[in-house]
Amino acid sequence: MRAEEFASTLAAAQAGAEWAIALLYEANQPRLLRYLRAQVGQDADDVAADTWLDAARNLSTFTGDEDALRGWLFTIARRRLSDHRRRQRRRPVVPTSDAQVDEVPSASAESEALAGALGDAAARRLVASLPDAQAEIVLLRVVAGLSVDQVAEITGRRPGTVRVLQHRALRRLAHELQDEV
Amino acid sequence: MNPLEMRSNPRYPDDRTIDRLLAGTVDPADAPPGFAGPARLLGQAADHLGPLDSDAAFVAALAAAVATNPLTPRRTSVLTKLVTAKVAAAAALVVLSATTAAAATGSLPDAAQSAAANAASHVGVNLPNPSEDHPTGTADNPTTADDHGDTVSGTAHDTDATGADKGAEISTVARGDHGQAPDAGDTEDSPDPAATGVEDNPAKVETPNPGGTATADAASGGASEAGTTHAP
Repeated sequence: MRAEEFASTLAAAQAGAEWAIALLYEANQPRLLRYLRAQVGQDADDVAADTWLDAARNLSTFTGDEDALRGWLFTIARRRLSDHRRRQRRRPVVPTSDAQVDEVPSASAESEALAGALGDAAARRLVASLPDAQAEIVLLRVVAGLSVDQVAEITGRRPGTVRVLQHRALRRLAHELQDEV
Repeated sequence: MNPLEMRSNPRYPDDRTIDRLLAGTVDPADAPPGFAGPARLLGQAADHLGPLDSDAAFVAALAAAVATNPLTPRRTSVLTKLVTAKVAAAAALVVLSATTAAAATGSLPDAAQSAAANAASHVGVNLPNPSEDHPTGTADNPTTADDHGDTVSGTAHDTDATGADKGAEISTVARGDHGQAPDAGDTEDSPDPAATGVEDNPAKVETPNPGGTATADAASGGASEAGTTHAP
């Protein structure tokens, strides 16, 4: 989306125009869902819905370009993810394996197919292969498509720290996947 | 291996290559040695992220959430409160400044002036205090040095008393409750702003001043000042 096009779309969305909100949603929901599915599996749809509703309620306060909007959305998503995990800790559920998750029919099966089951599986594998901090950095870089500076701002780390973490993540992945080429 | 060692290692990708790997745009065949696996996995994770058809019902719910944005009135309210608070603070400052200035010049009504002077005295500031003004400083009690002489003279002429009684009456008036010569000296020498404040206040200057606050200079028609000025 060109900058002028995005600006007019954002203004319309902030005024409540459904067509504009739909455009923003369609452009960002696939990344958001993959980011969340990689971390909370079948609860991703609920967390994504919470993220969008929170974003909609606060949309009038947002200013910035398309990249900034994506960063803003993932900032909200990260908070809703923390809320979700906190609720999960208070209400423990019986853990299920990745295989079981894949076998459970999902209400969002159709959208999952569109987003790419292979991509979701790859994102889940990243999370499974890396320590939490490294996995979060890699997901925000790869899936959310955010810059080092944006990831640093969202996670409250310095850009240099983000670079160190992504270096370590790649080295670890290279070690784990060396036999799969 | 720390990041510096990684960067100096020829087998380790540089920052630019790492950014491309994390964008999922490095073909595994073109990846640095040992990084074909990560390049493939990252490429898959970044794939199929194109636009997705939206759920019309959910988008309608989002539009409703935007329309009923609760932040707008709250932000307005906070802004309004902020502006109101600033205006109130500014008004209070203006009133305080004006009151202070009036109190300093003794322009407040007596009751208010007394209250202000008493309050200021607690913090070591002396303001004109009507309750401490000499009772002779009112228009109803004209007892300047000149008037005092007239009064004594008038008493001497007009009294019906005779003999010792007349002398006593004249003496009483002369000694009287009017002119207080020592006070005049005290007032002139006093550093008390209450005394000097009287002269600063036009309203008070117009008030016939009792002998107590008449200065030596005024009594001598300026002669004393001239004398002082030319004294060696």
